[in-house]
Amino acid sequence: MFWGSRKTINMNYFPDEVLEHVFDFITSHKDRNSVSLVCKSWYKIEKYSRQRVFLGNCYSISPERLIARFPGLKSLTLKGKPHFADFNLVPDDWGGFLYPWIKAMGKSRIGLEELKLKRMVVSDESLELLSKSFPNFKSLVLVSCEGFTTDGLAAIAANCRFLRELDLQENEVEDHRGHWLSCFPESCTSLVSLNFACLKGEINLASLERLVTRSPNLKSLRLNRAVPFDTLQRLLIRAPQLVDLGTGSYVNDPSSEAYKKFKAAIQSCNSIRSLSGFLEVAPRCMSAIYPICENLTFLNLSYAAGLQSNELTKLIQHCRKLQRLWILDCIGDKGLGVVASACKELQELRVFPSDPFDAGNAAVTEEGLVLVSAGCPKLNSLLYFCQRMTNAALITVAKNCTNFIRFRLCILDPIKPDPVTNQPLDEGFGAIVRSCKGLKRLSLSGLLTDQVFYYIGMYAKKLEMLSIAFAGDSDKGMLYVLNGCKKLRKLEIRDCPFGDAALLEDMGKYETMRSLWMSTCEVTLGACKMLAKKMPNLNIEIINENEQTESNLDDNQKVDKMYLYRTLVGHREDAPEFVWLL
Amino acid sequence: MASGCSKNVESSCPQLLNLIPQGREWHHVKREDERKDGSSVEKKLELRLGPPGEDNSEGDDESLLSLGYFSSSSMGSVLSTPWGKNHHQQQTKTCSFLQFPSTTAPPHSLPVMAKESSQPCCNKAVDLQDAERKAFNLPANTAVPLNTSQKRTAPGPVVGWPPIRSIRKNLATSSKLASDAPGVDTPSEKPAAEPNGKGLFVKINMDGVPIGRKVDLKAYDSYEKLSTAVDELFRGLLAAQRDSSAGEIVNKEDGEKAITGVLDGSGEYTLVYEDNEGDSILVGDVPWHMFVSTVKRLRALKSSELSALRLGSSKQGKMKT
Repeated sequence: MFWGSRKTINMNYFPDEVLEHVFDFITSHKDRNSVSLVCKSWYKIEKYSRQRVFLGNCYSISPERLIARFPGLKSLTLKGKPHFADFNLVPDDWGGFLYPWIKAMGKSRIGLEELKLKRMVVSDESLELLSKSFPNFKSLVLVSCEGFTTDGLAAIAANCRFLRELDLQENEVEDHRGHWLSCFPESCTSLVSLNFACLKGEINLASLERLVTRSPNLKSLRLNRAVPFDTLQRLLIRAPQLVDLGTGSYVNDPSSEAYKKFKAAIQSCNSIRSLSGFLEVAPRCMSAIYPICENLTFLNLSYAAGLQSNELTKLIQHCRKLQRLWILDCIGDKGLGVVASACKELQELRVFPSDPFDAGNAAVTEEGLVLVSAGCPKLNSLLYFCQRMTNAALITVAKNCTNFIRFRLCILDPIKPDPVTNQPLDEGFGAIVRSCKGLKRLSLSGLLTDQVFYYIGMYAKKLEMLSIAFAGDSDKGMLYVLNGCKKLRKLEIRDCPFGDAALLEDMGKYETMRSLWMSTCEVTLGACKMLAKKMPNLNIEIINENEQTESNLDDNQKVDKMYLYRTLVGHREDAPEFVWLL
Repeated sequence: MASGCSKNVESSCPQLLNLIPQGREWHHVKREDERKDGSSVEKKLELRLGPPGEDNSEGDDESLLSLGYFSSSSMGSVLSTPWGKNHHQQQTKTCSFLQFPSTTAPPHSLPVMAKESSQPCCNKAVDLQDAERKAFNLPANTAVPLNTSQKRTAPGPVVGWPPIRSIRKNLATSSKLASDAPGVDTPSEKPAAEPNGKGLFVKINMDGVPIGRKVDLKAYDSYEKLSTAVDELFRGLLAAQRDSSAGEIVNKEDGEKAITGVLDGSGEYTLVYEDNEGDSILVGDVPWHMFVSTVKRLRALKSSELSALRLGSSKQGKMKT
């Protein structure tokens, strides 16, 4: 063997299989992407050995090119609509269709085993084709998708013989109640994870029980509202090995037999680490849960609108090992104080509004957040809907918790200033970005001027995603961000006074990002056209829900919604009429 | 930062709020004509407590009115009083989606005045104009819930705000329908029992029209009114669809015909809704208030295709009285 030099070992003298084995240890997408850039031989080996691919924007590449690039693909993650689609800012038929991907992969020799989709339009047809095209298909995870019915689920259940995971999170599913659960054949015993909490209709309870009984590997089970309390109790007896439980309806009479049986059943479920559901809840029944609380690491009570603050705190006091808590704001500031004193391991907190349209009534304020920041030093991820926030509080939070990776603050009244000083919240958010050097995701609210963007551009060096609404004074704000945040991937802006000058200042920047969304800003059609002309690797889409045709608008007119993203394949073919591709 | 309101600003907000401290009522007055004069120079106004002529230090934003109303927190609306003619000059545009309670503090204890801030507002002060500009960027028919120290009825939510998914929007309502005791139906609590001003927006799609609409059911109190609204919402879109699918240029007036008969099956389309249990039900079966409390989305289906669908019957058994 002839080594390249005395000091270094030339890895190209290893057979491919060795390199492949080495690459197996490299799992991060970013790292694998880097590996493929080293040299031709590494590119080739990496290409054939890559099994997991993540596409943050399904329109950045075509199915055919993906298949050609990674013929060994086994696990695919696709994201479709822009994030603001969650808040009804994107019309339903905008795009993000799954079908072309399934069709292309089905025709090829791809042996797809796992599919994870977010904000895609998934038809029953595509689910059926999926279930028939990939004999080794194991895992389907759909998050915030729509377009399918329980008939599509029936096809998956019936045809995917080795299905391990069917996880439906917050999808819009048309429920035909056609006994899709019964479509799992008796021979299907491989289920590890089943989550149908978002389904609205009834299901066949007997089928469900039989399914759970014959699934010894079942670790995660999340039921929908239609599963009553006594079925839940019977299921727990069948599946004491569960690690993740989502209750359906949690309503019963504490003096009943069913309730007593439930209490007994849940005591033997000492593997449960994650608890959610409570889509309907009877507060008096919550004490049955206390025995498993001490082991919980994730608790999601964000749909349990029937629980008051004292019931919530009584429960949470038992949850000493909690790492992630999703809760409604009816817990109140005092309740958050209890969280702060009980949950010292807390890393992620999400506080949702129970009454979103009544800004004055939201039960949490800056005080609750300060308490949690003081009591939970490991806090790194926050989503907080509140009635008000002060600069002083944010500065305190920034001092207490320097580890934030995600910081999303939503003050329900969009341009509310600091109620104590009547200043904008620039200084508060400035403190957060200065102190949290690892911050990757930030959502702003409250009254904000260009100054906050100055701070963000200056300090938020690791920021990847920024959401802005009703903020800023001028183009300078946007420019601070575009110039300063080198790692920015996603920028979404609504109702801000940012216009053409900001948009066009550094057009190359957008090729370093996944996408930019701007709605109800000051950007004109002419500027968008210019950007489209100069940057062929970007798709600029104008979403126009009025009935005007393209020719009616002149270049000086402001666009209502603009979405741009980098792509390797140019204009997409499936855009509906109200989306103009420039 | 007098970067100037854009043209849109001037045309979109014809109404001003005008505090007239006569008697105990605050009046809301339209002032289209006054918009045109004098608004070029001073767009910033501060609302202050204190007798006229008092030294108002720069950027002194702590002087909240006991009304609890402060310019910065109110989406750019500006209160001005016609203390004197010169004050007319300072009236600026605002969007009129603010509603005041009829009285708050006794007006006589509040010598409210609008002050022309001839000195530049302190940088730290809230920039009213920018708040205004933000206000104007809102679609004209939406408004922002105010946050004031008093309860105030917000005229309606901003589209897409707060940023939460639809599933979370009606949680407070739907939790009232769940009961503590098993198997017992609670009396149906009308969402109308909540304070007014919360819209109940549901999606409505029409067969063959790719763009859906949203309709605020709180704005109607009967099926007939809803039916009229459906006609208004979709007439134009439907005509445009027909035009484009027919491939001809059809005279707009010819092409638009009223959409009728959606409630009784006599028209080309029939209204159907999806309730909180996922059932599809013909609109019109249950009393209006019950419909409003259980409806999740609406559809206008082609009447000819109705029989092909599975529809849940109106469930007499689940009527809660």
